[in-house]
Amino acid sequence: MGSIENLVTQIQGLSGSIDDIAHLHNILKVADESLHAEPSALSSVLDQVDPAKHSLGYLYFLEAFTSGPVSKEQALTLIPILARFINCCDAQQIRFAPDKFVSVCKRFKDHVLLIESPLRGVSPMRAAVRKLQTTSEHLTTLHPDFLLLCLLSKSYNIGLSVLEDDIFDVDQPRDLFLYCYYGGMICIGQKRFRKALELLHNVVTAPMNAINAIAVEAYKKYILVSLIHYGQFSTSLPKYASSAAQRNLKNFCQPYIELATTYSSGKIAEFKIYVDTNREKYDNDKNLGLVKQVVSSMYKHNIQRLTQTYLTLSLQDIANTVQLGSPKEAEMHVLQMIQDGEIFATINQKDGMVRFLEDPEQYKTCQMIEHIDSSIQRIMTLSRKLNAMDELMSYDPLYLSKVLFPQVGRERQRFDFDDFDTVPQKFPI
Amino acid sequence: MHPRVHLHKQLERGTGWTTVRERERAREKMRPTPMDYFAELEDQGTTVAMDVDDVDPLEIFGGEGVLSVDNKLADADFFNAFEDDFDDADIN
Repeated sequence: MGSIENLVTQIQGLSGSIDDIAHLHNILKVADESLHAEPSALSSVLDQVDPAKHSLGYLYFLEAFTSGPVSKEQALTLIPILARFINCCDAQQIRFAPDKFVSVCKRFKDHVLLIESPLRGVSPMRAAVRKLQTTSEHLTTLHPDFLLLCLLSKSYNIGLSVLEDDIFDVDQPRDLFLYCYYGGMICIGQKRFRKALELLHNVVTAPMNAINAIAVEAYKKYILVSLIHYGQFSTSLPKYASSAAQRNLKNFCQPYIELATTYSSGKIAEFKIYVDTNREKYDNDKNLGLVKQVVSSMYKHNIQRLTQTYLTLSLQDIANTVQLGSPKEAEMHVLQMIQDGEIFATINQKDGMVRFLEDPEQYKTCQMIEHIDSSIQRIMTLSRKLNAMDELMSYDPLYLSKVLFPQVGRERQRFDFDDFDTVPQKFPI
Repeated sequence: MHPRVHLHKQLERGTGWTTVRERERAREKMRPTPMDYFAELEDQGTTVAMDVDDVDPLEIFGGEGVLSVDNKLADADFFNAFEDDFDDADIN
């Protein structure tokens, strides 16, 4: 206990300048093992240290104190202590020990899940993400945990605020998979289908040596959201998708691929039969709700197709063509689509005729010009970023070794016309 | 078209009528550069154009049988126990 008291004194004295904190960090690293030896002795010590001013020292104490399994009752006690620390700690100090900070935050997440109160974790975890990030482009290992809590507590809006950042710097591949998968689900919840597709697409096409369970689940949702948003789906994966994904993804998602094939026929009755037949599979995947949205979207896309052929059409004809129950149902669908900006039309309720109109957007309002301008700025920034990344990659020793020095020990002349082989050769990784 | 001229054009296009120069040009086109080889590899990350490729890479190997499907999923323990929240009917 005496050594802990000394440590407290050092923490209180060395939490001022950056140099002091760096020196303190070395002391804490040496003392870490002894802190873990008697974690229960630390509960009284925590009160002697200020989590805001002495964040690094407090972090070491807290991390040792909260190590080990806890019961629900213990979790209830620890959660406010952890939340307070995360909210008020100094980001500069905790970045000296990012692994410990991550451990503490992950335990906090586990505790709120243990007491089945994910909402209590949302705000502190958002703060934790912002403190751990070196820049807004940095994806930390806490991002997926934060989005997970947002999903469980249905706080989709709060999750969206983090998803708006463009990510260029990733710590671990698994973090990217989870971030994009959970992020895609949050966007689906907010009906931001285009953004959802972008995130899910990133999971499906991310580099992977072996087929990844997260990518499989992402692909299932990708198929469904593609049908909802675009009314169509292509099984072709882009060239830059990994060979593991190209070979295996479809095999794990057959009910969804077949759903998309049935959807493409445009026949609602047939499609509904297919969905009912395979209902259990989608239910087990917790995708039945999304599949129902796909069914609804079929009416919408069928109506949209009508606008490409007709200038006017009666509600009765729309109902017949799209296989709706009545003109009233057709009217409800058309009204909703007009409200959502999915079609441009007017309904004459006297004669039950719908007149389809052209998109009135002239692209010359101030709002539209601002939107185009900000898109251009974003693209230019992205282009500069890509050029910088490309330049960095061209200096990367691993990249250079693969490009400049093909497989060592290869005796066969690869560039002789007579030996030319149409089968592409693979380089061992 | 005059039959004789037509026949002459057919012979020009036929496989037996390539000149030495044409043969060398064909060899040059078929001789791969290191970067061409590398462009064929699926692991070519960000420098490959982001086009949708309609050709199934497995077709190059003559279909199934050469490569076996990997049934083991990495990261199978990831948290995915969410409720099905995307049923719009629940909202209405």
